[in-house]
Amino acid sequence: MVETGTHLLDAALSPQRVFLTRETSKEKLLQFLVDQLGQCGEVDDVQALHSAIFTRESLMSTGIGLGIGVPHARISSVRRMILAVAVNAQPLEDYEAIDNLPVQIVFMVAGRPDQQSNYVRLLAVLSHVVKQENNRKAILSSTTPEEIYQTIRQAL
Amino acid sequence: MEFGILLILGIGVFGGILGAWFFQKLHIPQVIGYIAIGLIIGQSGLGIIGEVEIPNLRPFSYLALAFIGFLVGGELEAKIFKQYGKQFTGIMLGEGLGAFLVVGLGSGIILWFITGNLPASLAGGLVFGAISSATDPASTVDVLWEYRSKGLLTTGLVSVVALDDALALTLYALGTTVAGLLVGGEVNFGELFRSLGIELVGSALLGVAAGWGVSNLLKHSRSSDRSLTLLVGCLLLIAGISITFHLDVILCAMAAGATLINHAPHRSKPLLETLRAFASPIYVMFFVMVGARLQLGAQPIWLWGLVAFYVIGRTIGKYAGTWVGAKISKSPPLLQKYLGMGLFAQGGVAVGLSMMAGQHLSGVEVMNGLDLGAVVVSAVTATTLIVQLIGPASVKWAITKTGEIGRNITEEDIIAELTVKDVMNAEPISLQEGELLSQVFDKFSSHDQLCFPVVNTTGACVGVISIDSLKSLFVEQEIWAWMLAGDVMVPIKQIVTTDTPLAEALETMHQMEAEETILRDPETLNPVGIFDLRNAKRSITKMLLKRQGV
Repeated sequence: MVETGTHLLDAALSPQRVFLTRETSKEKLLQFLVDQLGQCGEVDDVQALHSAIFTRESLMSTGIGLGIGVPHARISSVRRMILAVAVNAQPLEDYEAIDNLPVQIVFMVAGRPDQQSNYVRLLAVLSHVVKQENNRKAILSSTTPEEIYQTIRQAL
Repeated sequence: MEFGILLILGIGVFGGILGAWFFQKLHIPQVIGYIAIGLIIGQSGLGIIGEVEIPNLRPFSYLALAFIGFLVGGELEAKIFKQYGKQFTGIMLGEGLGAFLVVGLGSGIILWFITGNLPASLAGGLVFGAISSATDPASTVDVLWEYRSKGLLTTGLVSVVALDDALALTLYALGTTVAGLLVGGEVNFGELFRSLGIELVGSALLGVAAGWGVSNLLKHSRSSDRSLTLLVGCLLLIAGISITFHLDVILCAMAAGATLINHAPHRSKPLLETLRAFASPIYVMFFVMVGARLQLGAQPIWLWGLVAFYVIGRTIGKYAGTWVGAKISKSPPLLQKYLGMGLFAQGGVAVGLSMMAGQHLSGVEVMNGLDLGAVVVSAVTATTLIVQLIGPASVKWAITKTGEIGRNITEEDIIAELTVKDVMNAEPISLQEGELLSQVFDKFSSHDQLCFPVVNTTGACVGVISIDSLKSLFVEQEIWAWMLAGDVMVPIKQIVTTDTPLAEALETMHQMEAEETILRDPETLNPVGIFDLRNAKRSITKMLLKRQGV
């Protein structure tokens, strides 16, 4: 069953998985987010998630334009769909986004292989939210993870 | 050494099947194999089925005749007779009377030449002629079923062999009456025709009543098991009542089968198929018994001459008579040319009539110590053996020539012969896991493929995208520019392989509620095909129509 955007977000994201980061490269930021997801108790094999996220990046960058990155992967060692958000202090020049702009807001999504519909729906919802300029500005101007979390929720 | 009935049945059915298998390898109809095994284990061979056992097994033969008659009757749909009734009747009269005239005249002349006894020779000729007009429906129809024959010739053969027993019985009654007059015995015309009338009309009436009754009872039967039991019970009753009241088992069963198929065609067709499968070992034993019963003792040389003439004359009479009957009734050329070739088999009716003649004519001496009854029994036994070897082979030849072999085939038959690889799409177009979703949609719209295997850089299939899973993506067009095939594919469930029998694969797909599945090479994991129900059904229908000659 495909759930609504709000339900999906509430189930996948918690304020504890929203971060204000100061990483200096795409690789470091993605590694940081993988580690955070690995600590939330929903990932049985963190190494497999790391491998899946970076394999996906090798196929094509998940920089979807407008300073947004959506790294994502579905693997069987993830128990349920989870999301982590990072807003980096400095835009990352090495993200190789499709519009060649540096990436500053990153949503990392990890799901199970059999969750195709909800997974796609969550990615589409996130894409829709951050492609609106006012939402991006609100996220970038937030000073705490809680503020970012509320901004994303209210944007839905 | 005496064998128990069960052991004899076991030896008969098992041996018969082995014989059939051997003869099938030689492309000879299986019925000849059954009879050959019967000859080997019967009175003329090893004697496993001997004088003691044959009478004990007679009820079994009657039951087999009831099954055969019923199934032959089940092929006689009224619509066939509405279309070809005149032609089939013309052919039946032609072939029956043709054999009667040629064999009757010829054997009469031979007997006269040998014995010098004109009245006895004429009497013998009449009886031989009448007996020769019967065609054995059992072995003829067995060949048609074995080779799954279907078409005008097949319909004609079934109809004619079903009808000509009545003609043979009538000719026999007339023949023995006249023969009795000729040899000076006491003949009661009234009694003879009364008993003939009772036999024919009584058999037909009992059959129609049984068919009508069983058809109505079947309405209340909700399971095929119960319907089959009902039908078998009905056939046991038909056989039993026919024997008790001296009716003709096969005619009665035929009338019952014809009544059922015309009264309830939809209900009875699948049931007749089930009955046919159920009756298979009974047939095998019946034909083994035919072979076992044949007794070819030492006979005078001239009798073999008579046998040779009977076979040749009957063959000519049947073929020429069919041709004449078909011409007069304006039958299609196919029937004129080939139907006669399918009417050479001689079986139960002929042997039964010869036994009766053996009793009727036992007092008529034709030569020193040899009576006409014994001549008829010996000659008909010998000719039955020869003709049962020629007849089924001729039926096969005729249906081969007309291209009717293999056309009586159902979707289930086709499915049973195939494996998944026979109906799969063996050249599937794949998606690379790095292909953009927009390209995925392009491929779906430009190829008639319900699902696409997704492959990685080594060519191994890592997932699948089906048209169903794509539906949810259709509204999310903003992600098409950055989502990849690998992001939206679903894992492959290997539910069937290329070598899975198709019937099993269809059942598995049904249970899994799957419409399609990707087939992978077990070693390289490369996609080797797509098995989707829509295309599989299309392939099956195509093969079915091709095999049916449509």
